Amino acid sequence: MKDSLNIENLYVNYLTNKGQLKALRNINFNIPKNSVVGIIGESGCGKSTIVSSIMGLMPENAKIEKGDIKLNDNSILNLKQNELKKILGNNISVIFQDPMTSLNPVMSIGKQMILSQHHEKISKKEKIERSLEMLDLVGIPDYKSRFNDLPHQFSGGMRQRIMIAMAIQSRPDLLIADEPTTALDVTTEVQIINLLKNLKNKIECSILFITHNLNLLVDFCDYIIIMYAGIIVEKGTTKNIFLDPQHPYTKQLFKCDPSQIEKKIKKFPFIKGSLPDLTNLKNECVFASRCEHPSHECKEGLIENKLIEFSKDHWVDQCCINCKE
Amino acid sequence: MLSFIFNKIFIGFLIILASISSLYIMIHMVPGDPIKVLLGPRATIEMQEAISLKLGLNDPLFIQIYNFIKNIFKGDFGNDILTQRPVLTILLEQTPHTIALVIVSIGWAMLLGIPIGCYNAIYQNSKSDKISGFFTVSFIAIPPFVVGLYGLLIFAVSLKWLPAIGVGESGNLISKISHLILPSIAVGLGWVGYLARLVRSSMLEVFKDNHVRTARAYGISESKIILYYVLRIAILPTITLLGTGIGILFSSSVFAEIIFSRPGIGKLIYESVINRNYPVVMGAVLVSSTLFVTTTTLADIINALLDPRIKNNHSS
Amino acid sequence: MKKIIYEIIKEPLGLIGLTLVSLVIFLSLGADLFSPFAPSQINIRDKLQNPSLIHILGTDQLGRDLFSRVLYGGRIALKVALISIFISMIIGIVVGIAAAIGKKWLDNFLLFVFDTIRSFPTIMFALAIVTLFGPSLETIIFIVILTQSPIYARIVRTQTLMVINSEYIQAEKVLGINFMRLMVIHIIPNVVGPLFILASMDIPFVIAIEAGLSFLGMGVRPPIPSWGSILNDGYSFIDNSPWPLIAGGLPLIITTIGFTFLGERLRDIIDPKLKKYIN
Repeated sequence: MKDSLNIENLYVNYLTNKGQLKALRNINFNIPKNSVVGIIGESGCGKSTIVSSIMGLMPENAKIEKGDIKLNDNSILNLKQNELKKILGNNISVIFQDPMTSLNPVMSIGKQMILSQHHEKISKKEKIERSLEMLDLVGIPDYKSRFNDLPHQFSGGMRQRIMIAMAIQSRPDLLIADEPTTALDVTTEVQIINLLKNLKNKIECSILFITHNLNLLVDFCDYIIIMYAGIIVEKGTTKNIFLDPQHPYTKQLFKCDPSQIEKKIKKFPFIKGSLPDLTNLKNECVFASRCEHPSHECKEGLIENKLIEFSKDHWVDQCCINCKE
Repeated sequence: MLSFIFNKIFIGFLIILASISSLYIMIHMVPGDPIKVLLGPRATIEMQEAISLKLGLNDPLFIQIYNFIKNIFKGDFGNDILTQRPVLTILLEQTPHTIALVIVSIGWAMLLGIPIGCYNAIYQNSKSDKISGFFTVSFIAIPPFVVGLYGLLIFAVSLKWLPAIGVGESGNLISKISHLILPSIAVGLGWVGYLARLVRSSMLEVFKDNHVRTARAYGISESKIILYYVLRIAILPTITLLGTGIGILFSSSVFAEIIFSRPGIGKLIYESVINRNYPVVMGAVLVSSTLFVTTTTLADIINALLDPRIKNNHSS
Repeated sequence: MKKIIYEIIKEPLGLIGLTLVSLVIFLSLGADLFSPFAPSQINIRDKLQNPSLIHILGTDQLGRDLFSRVLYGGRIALKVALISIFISMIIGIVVGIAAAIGKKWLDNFLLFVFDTIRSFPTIMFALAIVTLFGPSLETIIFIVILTQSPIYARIVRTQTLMVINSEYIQAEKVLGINFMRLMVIHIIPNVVGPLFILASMDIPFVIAIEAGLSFLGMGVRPPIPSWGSILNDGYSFIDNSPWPLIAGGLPLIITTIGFTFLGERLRDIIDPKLKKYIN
């Protein structure tokens, strides 16, 4: 078993008023065991759809058209509800973006942590002990006396730590962190990332880390996946992507990162244009409208949007691989 | 927390005081001799003077109110003008019947309404949801006394399945229950509708909450989610509704008592106002105000206990 | 306007509601045209008859045609509803805005008065007032206004407070906002929507109050045909004939269900727009 997670040829559509919204197209990636894979992309690129597809918690109008998702080499895509529920919170855990609303406001955190251990066949006393251990591990001060406190008695950063504690309690094979620090201030953000790094060393699990902050990715991840408008445009080891970005979108992302700016400039760099309408995809390369140097082939859609291996552990969308930029 | 409770109780007390006083004032506002108003054409000079003295109607208004309240604490509510029986006794006789009616009505309304609302929230937009929606709104719309009258017509007079009048034999539980069925349906039917709708909409709201998503992400079973997460929060507006809706309940029970000739506070008020039985009216107003204020205050307090967010925000 | 009607009819609830309401209004307004007899026309020989071709709903204990009485009863119901709700709305707007913009003590006082009125069961309140002023249509209208205007006032107050405390207005306050401008551009639009919704939900309730009070003998004096008084007759003669009771209750059921369905549908339509506006 080499990989914790395999996603193969995944296509996901949403049925909307305006027609079929092609949210994910031809998604392929692996999460090797005990590695950290980061996905970066702007809002609407499909990163949340990937999370809900893996979890099997999709809204009613979502349909998985093609493809497969495998957890530890077992397909989980078409599992029945009750089998899926055995995996969730057990082999896969999630940390969500908004710690302020992700916890039940009228139940103590202790009770919620115990409830989330419902898969385990251990006594309540043991569950309490485990929870306390976890709370200590994530760094909640006074964790024993605060076990029966309610969520609103904790700050945002603390609540996120509690969520992390809940997530790793069950020793999952895969931990999905869906933009865990987006709603937190910068100082807290650093603390949480450090916490995750420490925990990963202690507890063996793979992490799928979703964010739109490039710095965090580079700091924390072994592999990076860059998504745009429902497809992967570039993926590979952090080193490869960071040192030799190929796709124009990736390059522009790096350029726009304020921490990368070396000289003084007057205007903030940004990527012109906006996401294409996913209900009405034209024939052209999906990035053509925002590319700085779109070629004739890009605009006519003569080259398909498809990942090809640029070099070892470095894959780029073939439309942009020969870009002269 | 304690200050919250005291605050509520204090205000409740003030409200009761205010309702008694305003009733007093209302009676005295009528142009002409209040005694004539109270006693009507039956009044002879001697009766007028006797009442005047006894009720202290020659004293300034606030002294009258003060005396009235003072007497209440002594347990003296005055006497029924017609029968001279102590009002307190009459109240103690009648109130239990109304309370029984109200409790049974709310009871079965909750037993029916909450599960229906719950079911419809889970199976939203299904055929049964749409059909239930039609019925729940209808139940809310139809005036309770019409329900009572039609119930009387169909089940008591025509089909003769259920008794039409009274409370039943004392000591005979079956008889008492059968006498409660039609009146409690009249009073409770609207509430089935209110509760079903409220539970449904609050649950749908909570379903969208992020913490429900978290629970699902941990593979917690749907039934556990509904019980521990959703219902726990969705039930709160229901308590508030029950608390504030007591007034409506009371009005409905007045009609039920009149239509089915059941003894009770409602019927008492109705008859005593018509008969100008002034001390009984005052006593009954006191009881009903107190009941109302008590239930709303209790509802607020229970609400605060169950939803810790309110406890901390009550000052806002 | 056409668009609103289309929206209403889209859902079965709205369609039924609109149909029933239109039927009731049409028949009541055209009572003169549609009723075969005068509502007070007494004909003792024909008393308590079952429905027939001549008397569609039968006759009451004085031989009066029930169908005609029902039609004219509709006029009473609609009249009470319209007048009392209209006046309650006006009072509600004035008091509500006053409570919201005025001093804190005024606000607390008004809230206190509201709660006190609410602690009186409506019936008791009604009985007290009827005892003082005598039973009549005007008394009922007065009672309804007294019990309902606090509810309108409360909604207006809540909406006004929401507007006043919104960040947008705080910004304008800093810039020095004119009172009339505040009122017209910000408060009124936010108030109208919920008020309208409340009024449409209130109509069936008010009609029920009027019928209930008339049933108890507190309302219109005979021989004026209120649905409630028809029910009263029906109740008294329930052992003789079910038809007065049926005749009195049927229009009530149709009207309350119709207006409630319509009100519900209207609320569903206006509400999302309202949320959009406030945001």
